[in-house]
Amino acid sequence: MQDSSTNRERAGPFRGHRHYFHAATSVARWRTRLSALALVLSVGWIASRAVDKEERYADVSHGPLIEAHGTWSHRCDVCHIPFGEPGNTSGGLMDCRERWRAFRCNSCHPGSSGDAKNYAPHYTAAHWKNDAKSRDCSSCHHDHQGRNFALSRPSDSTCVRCHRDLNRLREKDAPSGSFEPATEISAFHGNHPEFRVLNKERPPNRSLKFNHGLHMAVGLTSATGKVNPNALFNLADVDPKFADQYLRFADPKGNPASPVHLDCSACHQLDTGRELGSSNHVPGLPTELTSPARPAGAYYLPITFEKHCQACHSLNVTGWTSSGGLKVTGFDLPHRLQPDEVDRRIRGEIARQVIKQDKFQKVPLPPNERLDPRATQLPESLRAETEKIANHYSRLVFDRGDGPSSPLAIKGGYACLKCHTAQFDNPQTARPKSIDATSARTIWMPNGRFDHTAHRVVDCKECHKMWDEPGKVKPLGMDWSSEPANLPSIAKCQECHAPQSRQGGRMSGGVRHGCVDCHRYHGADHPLQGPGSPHREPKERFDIGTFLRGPRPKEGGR
Amino acid sequence: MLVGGSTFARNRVAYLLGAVVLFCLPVAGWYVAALWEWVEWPSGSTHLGLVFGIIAAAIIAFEMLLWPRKWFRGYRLGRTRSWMYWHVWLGILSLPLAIGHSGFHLGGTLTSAVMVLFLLVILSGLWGLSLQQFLPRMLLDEFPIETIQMEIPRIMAHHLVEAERFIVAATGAGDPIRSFFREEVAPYLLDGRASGSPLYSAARVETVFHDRAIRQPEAGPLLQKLKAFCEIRRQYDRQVRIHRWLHNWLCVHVPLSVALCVLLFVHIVTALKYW
Repeated sequence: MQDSSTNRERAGPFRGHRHYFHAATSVARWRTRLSALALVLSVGWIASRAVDKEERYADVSHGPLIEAHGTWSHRCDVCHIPFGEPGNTSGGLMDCRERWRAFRCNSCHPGSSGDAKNYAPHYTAAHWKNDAKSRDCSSCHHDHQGRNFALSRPSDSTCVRCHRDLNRLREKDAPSGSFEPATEISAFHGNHPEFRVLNKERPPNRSLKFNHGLHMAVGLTSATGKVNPNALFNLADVDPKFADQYLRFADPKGNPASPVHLDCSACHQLDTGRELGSSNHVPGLPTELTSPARPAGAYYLPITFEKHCQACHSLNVTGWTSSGGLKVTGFDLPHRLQPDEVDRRIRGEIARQVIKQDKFQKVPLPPNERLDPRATQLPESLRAETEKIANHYSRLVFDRGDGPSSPLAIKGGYACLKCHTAQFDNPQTARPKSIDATSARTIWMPNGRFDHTAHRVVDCKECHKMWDEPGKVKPLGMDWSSEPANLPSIAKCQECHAPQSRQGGRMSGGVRHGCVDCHRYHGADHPLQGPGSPHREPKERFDIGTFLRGPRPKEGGR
Repeated sequence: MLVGGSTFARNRVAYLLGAVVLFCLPVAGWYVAALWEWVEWPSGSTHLGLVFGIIAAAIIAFEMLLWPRKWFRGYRLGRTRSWMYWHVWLGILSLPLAIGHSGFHLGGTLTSAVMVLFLLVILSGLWGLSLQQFLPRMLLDEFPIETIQMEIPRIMAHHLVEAERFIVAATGAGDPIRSFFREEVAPYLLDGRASGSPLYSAARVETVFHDRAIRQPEAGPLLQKLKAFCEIRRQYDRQVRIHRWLHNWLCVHVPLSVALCVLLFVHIVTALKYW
């Protein structure tokens, strides 16, 4: 008998069971069971969400919305325009981004009526007119990044994306090149240009002759000499009506002989945001002048003559007796008048006082008419005398400051032209044609936000240090041209607002330096363009229920 | 070799992990560049992000084809080895693509679930691939009688019959070895460690059979035979354990892949079709 082969022997145990490889191992069985379970769980999860209409999109959302939008976390179509509806008809596969970025932000945040997406001054219709999507809210504001995400604070990269090379973008809108070249900006601490207000070619005109150095010196006199006739200016020289206001700048005990020593806070007061009618109210002044719309505490209130100057620079005209025997008592002149009006006020006041003086009213009457009432008339000599007095006062009020000082001058100086610049028809005449309006602006950099409250712990002169520099204090009677605007350059800001670094052995920078730390868009700081602007009224208002479900204007789309 | 050309398993695993790192380096560089604002932060809906997403989804679809490929192993659908090669390397490539598509954000619940499942699938795959570099060599070296796992009970039943023949031929009725075989050896040969027999331990086998040999010196050759059968059973037990390690990662890899595919499908539909 032939021996069986080894292979046959080895195959013996498998004989009759050739499909052994089809049998599942325990691992394979578990693999199958778990796969089925995973399939059931995943499909079940999706199905359970799909059934609930309110929760259908809760899990599809790619991140939590900010708290302000939180009520619509589960309702994509409140903000996104679904594909196929007007305003979202981009069809291609690669247009996915465009489909997602079709929003109805203007349901709640409308722009102007002519252009719902116009959130001027940034992204006006003139810009990106060929690319409406690029000026959509989502170009800069990216939601779905957490409930506490600052949606109104786009990252620098968002701004720099365009501002790094703004000219290239403008060329698209104006291929002819008829646009003002823009500066390339990629970082505040890098190539950000100097502040526009400090443009040396067009320095700001203040139209006001004011010497910070003099006013902050002890006794309001220059340190270089006693040329100030009023030196030292003591507490007794302050108008008694304002004595309390200036007590803290002299001897607190009220010693009249103590010299006045002003500091910044004597005139520069932060806007507390309170309603006028309390401390900031100045009777007779327009409300907008003393409290324009702006964030409380961010800026200083405007300097007003009535609040900050009048205590020392009274507009009281002293009395005088003319050579003709006419006596004029002192009187106050109002502020904010042009020369013609001032002149009329002077002449009117003098005429009023002269008329009241009886001896000029008792004019001899012609004979035979004794029973008639006495006529009130001014003789030629009286008219001439009055004119003479008025001219005298007018000359003093409009004195340019280059003549001899007179005890008749308005208290404290040379009246109008002591502080104001003016226009003259004839340079030789005393009376100017008009007084130049002062640039009473409290916001010198309107394109950048600045909060003085956040910086008040730093000494003022760290940034506004002109009066500390030798030669900058102008002695009285010397240069009376307007003092330049005392504004810090960008380099001063960059000392803190830059990435932290070590320079010359000391640390510098480290304070936030993002674009939106200073710049606000959509006119939020502008009284006429801010969120409260009537141009931003929603087209339709909703009840709370509708609002919570998601406001959808009837006209739809954008 | 699916992974590297080295004959040393440790080198192949190092090669595999190195490849993963290398594949992910560009996307890590992209992240750093975006973090330092050199480039715009990536997003899944940009053209580039969308292309990444599409490629990653296509790869995942291909990866899942391996499953039906095993059902139809009788058809000529390319070499299994080639399928596995591309399964491994495209799977690794899909990792940076998916991360790039995600824009380095997990996003909402659905996308987070998709990404977490995807990462778990990748990790379990890498773990399984690493095990498969070590364990087959171990089986080859240490188990000369290795067989297909599901055939082990049948083989052991065959060996049991063979052992019974030896017992019947070498012992008479009432021989203590017969009862020893029936009560201790036979259950162990049939069910292995699951029988609860102390013979699963090599040291215990030595002790037990040594005691038997002292008590019945004439039964020495028979006891040696039975001991050899127990050794075979123990080897098969160990082989089963190693086989489980070789394949149990699939209990994670495959179910998670299934769930990933379902959620990925929903993600694609909601992202592309609905909006």
